[in-house]
Amino acid sequence: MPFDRRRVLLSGAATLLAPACKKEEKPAVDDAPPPDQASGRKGVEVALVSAARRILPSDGNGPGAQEAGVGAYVVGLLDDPAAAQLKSILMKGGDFLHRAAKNRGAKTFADLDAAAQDQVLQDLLDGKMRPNRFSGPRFVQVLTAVCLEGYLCDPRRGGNKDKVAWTWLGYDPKGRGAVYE
Amino acid sequence: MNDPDVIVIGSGAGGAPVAARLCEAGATVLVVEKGPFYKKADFDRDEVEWVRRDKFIPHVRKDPHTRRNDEGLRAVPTADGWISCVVGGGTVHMGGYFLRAAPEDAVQATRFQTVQAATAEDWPFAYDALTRFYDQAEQELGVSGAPSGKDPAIVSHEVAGLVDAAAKTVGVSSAPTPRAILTVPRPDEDRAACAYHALCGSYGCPNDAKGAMGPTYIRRAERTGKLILWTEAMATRLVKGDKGRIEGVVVKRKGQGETTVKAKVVVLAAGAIESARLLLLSGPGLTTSTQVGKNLWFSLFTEVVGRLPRAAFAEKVPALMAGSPFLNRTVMAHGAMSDKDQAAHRLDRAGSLHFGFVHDNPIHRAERAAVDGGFVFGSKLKERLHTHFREGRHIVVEGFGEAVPHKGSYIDLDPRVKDRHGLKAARITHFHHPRDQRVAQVMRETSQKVLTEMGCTEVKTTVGLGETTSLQGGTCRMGKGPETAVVDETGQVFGTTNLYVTCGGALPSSLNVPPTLTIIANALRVAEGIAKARTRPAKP
Repeated sequence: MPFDRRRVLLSGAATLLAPACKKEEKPAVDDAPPPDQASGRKGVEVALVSAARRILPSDGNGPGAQEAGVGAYVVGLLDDPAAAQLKSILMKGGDFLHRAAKNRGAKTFADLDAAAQDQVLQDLLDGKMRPNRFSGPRFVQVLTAVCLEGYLCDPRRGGNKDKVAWTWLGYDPKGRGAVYE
Repeated sequence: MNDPDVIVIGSGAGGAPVAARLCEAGATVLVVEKGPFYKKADFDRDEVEWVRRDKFIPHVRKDPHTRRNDEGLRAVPTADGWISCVVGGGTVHMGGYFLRAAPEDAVQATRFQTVQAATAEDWPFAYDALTRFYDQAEQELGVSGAPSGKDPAIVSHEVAGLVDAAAKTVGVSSAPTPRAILTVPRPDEDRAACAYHALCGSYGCPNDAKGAMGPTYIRRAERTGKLILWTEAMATRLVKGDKGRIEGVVVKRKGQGETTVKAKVVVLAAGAIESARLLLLSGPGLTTSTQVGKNLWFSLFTEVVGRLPRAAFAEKVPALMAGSPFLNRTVMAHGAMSDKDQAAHRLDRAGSLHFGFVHDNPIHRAERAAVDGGFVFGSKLKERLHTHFREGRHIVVEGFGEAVPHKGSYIDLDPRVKDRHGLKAARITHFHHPRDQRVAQVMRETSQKVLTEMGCTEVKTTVGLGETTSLQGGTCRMGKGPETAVVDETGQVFGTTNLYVTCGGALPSSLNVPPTLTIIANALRVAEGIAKARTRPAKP
């Protein structure tokens, strides 16, 4: 796809979000967990919240997804008509994470330890795990994009609780411009 | 509603100035705008709301364009090619780099005589004929730092001094960019001066300092009491009458179905792609021109970024980390090159380079930090975020270059894909002419040299050769005859008696600067001609 400057200026989302709008490709290999273990909405939500905490971990270097309320923001997108184009891949991806956890003997994705959660995400990203209903790398990228939304959005949207990420990174959209001091 | 005198289709840079001038001349003008009318009270800085959720353009599944890189390939649905479907069009969220065209832009065909496969066309009037309309536009919009303007240039950031010095060393010009941003308030127009929030591109202006069409020419038109503004209304067909006359326009209004409106004059200003699409949707025989949809150009684009590390510049530039004011420098304005470089690159000109800080949308900046250097998540991502936001400033150089129109770039109607109304979508076929590669190379290399000379680290090209599809033109271009153009020097479509085109589609050449100011100036020029012609006493 040729580069379009407009996507940077007006569809900044295109960097990581655009793939959510693309048609899914059929992967060559399917080593996903069996589809008969579909997780239901609750399992998806738990998986997305837990994955968000691995994408932006609470690691002592600034606030993580947990402190910023990113998980709730991401779950909220599932019912947001303005984000309808994101719902499909988030649901499929969250379902996959839940079933992957079950395959590893855990009750939910949240019950996996951090290293195991990271490994699932990394394997999806690297194509070592290849779901049959969506692109693994695309899911991780889209999830990262919406996590960054929940991290750095205007707090009135439900994320960036108490402006913790803005404060950490020195961003202030009001006053005489942003001042990174 | 009584029939208006004039219907203007589109309310952006090509439409709003015409509406204002004709209303001021006493005509009743109906403006048909596909999208809603956002006012300054609507505009905030919510990045998710305005930048990431199809706020300005229709979703690709509802109103697609399609795009392919060459004939013979299957075009795929895309949102590319929409400018902005709101009152004011793309001027609402523009950065407002308002440089005039150069005289050379008016004679592209003359300049490109030896450029193989170019289908360039000279403007059908002398460049100087546009000068007084540039003056009018700059003064009425309040372009700060403009050649004609009384308003001073916007305040520049300390880093601008680094750009000026580096450009001098490299041997290219550097000067403040004229901006469609008020630096002096206009209380009579309910427009405040710039508050230097430095978030112009992507957003509407919450104090109307930006010279968007809503608070300027649409407001002027409204004040006459002669304007009828239909929002969320889409023109779907021009109704052809006898002897080249356009009887009226078929309009679909949200929630009100379809209606046909008649008028004495119809002005098409829906952008280069949608204006040509409407002409094509209106069926054959509407014009004697063979060129509708052809000669498409997009403003040629390059992007190079560099980083000024905080540690290295803390003493030299104490305000380095201050987000405001603007960096705002145009380097190599109009693509002016030295004789040596001209010979080396076989070019007479290249493109203009706008130096600014990387756009201050934090989510998008964070995305880039996640991607640049290989995608990461977790603690590595957070380390990158902290470095990106806290440990230096990223400078972005956007190149606006001259693209060569050629037979391989055009729009037509997609035979397979339709929009929500069942109308065939515009199909964009576009690839770059070989000369574009050389222009892009000069822009890239000059950007890299200046950034490096400034002391930037991590200088890298992020877009080697691209295009800004919202800066579009050529598809209804003006020229000397229907064999090579669609409209004549008055802006009137060949073979018609009352149909005009005033958007970017009418511009034959892509210029070496963003074309918005030139579109406005040309629209004012055409409007003056319409007003004079339509008020002239009938011949006895």
